[in-house]
Amino acid sequence: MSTKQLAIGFVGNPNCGKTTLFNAYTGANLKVANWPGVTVEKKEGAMRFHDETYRLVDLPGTYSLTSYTMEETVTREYIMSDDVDVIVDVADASALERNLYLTLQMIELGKPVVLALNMMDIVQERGMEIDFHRLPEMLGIPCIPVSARKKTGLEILIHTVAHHKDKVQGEKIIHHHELEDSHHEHAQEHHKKYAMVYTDEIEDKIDELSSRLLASYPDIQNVRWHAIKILENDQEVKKNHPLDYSDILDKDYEKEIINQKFSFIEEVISECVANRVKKAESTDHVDELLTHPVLGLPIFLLIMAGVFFLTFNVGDWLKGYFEIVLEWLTEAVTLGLTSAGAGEMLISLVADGILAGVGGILTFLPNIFILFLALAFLEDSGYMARVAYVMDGIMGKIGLSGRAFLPMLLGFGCTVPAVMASRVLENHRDRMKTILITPFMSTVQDFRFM
Amino acid sequence: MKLYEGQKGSTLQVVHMDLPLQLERRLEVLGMLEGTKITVVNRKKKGAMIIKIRGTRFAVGQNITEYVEVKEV
Repeated sequence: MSTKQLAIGFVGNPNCGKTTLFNAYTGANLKVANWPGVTVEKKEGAMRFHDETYRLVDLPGTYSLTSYTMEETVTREYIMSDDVDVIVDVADASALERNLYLTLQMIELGKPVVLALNMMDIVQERGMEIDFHRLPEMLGIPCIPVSARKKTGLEILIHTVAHHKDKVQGEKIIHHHELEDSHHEHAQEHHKKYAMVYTDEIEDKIDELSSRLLASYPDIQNVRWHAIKILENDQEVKKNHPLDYSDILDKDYEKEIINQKFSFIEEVISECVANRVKKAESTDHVDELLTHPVLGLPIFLLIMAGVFFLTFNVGDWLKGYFEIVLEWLTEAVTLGLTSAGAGEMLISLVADGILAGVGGILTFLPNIFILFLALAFLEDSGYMARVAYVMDGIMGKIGLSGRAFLPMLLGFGCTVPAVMASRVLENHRDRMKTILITPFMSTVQDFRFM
Repeated sequence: MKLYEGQKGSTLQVVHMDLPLQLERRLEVLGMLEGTKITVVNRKKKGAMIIKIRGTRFAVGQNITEYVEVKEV
C-alpha cells in the first residue's frame, strides 16, 4: 500500500449527477465538511480499490472557473492546490455541449483530468451516440462513459484515474485543423500539445504574457493557464502576480476567449455526437402543459393540494401509530420505574414531563417528514424551476421574481430552512423581502394549532 | 428587436447584451453569447420566458429579456 493516498476531486456543472457518482463510490462512508471561513460545502469520503485507499472530494457544482463568485474561486483554489492529484470532471453526457465549457477550463488548469460522461443511460434512451474514439483525441484526456444511477462504468473510471494520475497532457491530440492561414510558427506544435488553441491574435498575447510571467516568476506552474487568465482580466491571478500588463491588455479579451472556447466545443460536438436532434420530445410536451399560460397555475395548485393531502391525511394516519407507540412506551417506562422502586416525582418527571413533552412535539414528525419528502421530489423532478416561471407574474406584483417563490414554498414546512433557502437570491433587497414574508407562510405546525 | 418581443417557437440570434457585468458573464459561461442562436420555448405577457440555449432550457425573467438585443434568423 502506498503511503500517500490519491486525492480525487469531483468537479462538474450543477445537476450533472456528481454527488450521485460520489455516493456510488463512497457508499455510507460520507461526511460533510464545511469550508473554513466560507459557506461553501465540500464533501469528503474514502474508498478502497485494489488495496489502495482513495480520498474523494465532492466540490460544489459550478459552470466556470472564473473568480466572479465565491464558490468558483474556492473550487478553483482547491483544485489548484496540491491537495488534489487527479480531477474527475463529471459531465452530463445528455447535455454535453454545455458541460464541455468547464471541461476545457479544467484541461487548461494543467492538472490530470479524467472526463466522466455521466447519464449514459439517458443518452442511450434518447438514441444519441457519442464517439469515444474521437472525443479523447480532440480533448487529449481519457473520456469514460458511466452511469452513476445504474452503477455502470464505475470501476473503469477509477482504474483510469489511478493510471492517469501523473499525466498532465495526453500524448495524442489530433485535430485536423487547417493551418495554412496561421502565421504562428508554433501553431502546429500548439495543436499537438493543447486541446484548446486560440486564434493567432490571442496566442501571440498568451506567448507574450507567458514570457513576461516566467521572467518575473521563474518557478510558476502552468504558465499558459496564468497567461490566459490574465488575458481574461482575472482579478485573482492579476493580484497574485502584480506586473504591468497594460500594453498587452489593450482591450477586453475575455469575451473573445469564451467565444472561441464555444466555437471549439461546437466543433467537438459536431464531430463526436450523432443523433443529437432526436432529443427527448416527450419532456417538451410535459413542459408545454406545466408552463401553460392559463393551465399552469391551476396545475400548480392541484399539485400543492396533492402535497397537502399527503401531508395531513397520510401523515395523520402515521401519527396515529406514532401515538400508540408513544403510549406503550410511557406505560412500559412507568411500569419499569415503579418496579425499580423509583420515587413518584421521578416517574412523573420522566412519563409526564420528558416523554409527554418531547413526544408531543415528535408527533408532528410524520407530517413534516412527508411534506419535505414531497417538496424534495418536486425539486428533483425539475418542477420547482417551472413553478418559478409560472409564479413570476404573481410575484412580480410584490416586486419579486419567480425565483423568490421557492423559499416561500419551503416555508409551508418550516420557516427556518425557508429563510436559509433565500440565499439563492442574489439581490440583497429581494432576499430581505423574501425573508420577511416567509414567516407568514403557515407551517404545518401552525395548521395544527389553528 | 428585444428578446421579450420574440414569438413562441421562433429562433433568434443574440446581437447584443446590455446587462450588469456579473449577469452577463453568468449567461456567457452558460453558453449565451453574442451570435448564439436561441429558441423561444414559451413566453409570458410580462416578458418572462423559457428559452433553449444549446439544448438546455432556461427560465429568464423580464430583467434579462428586456436588455438582450436579438434578430430573427
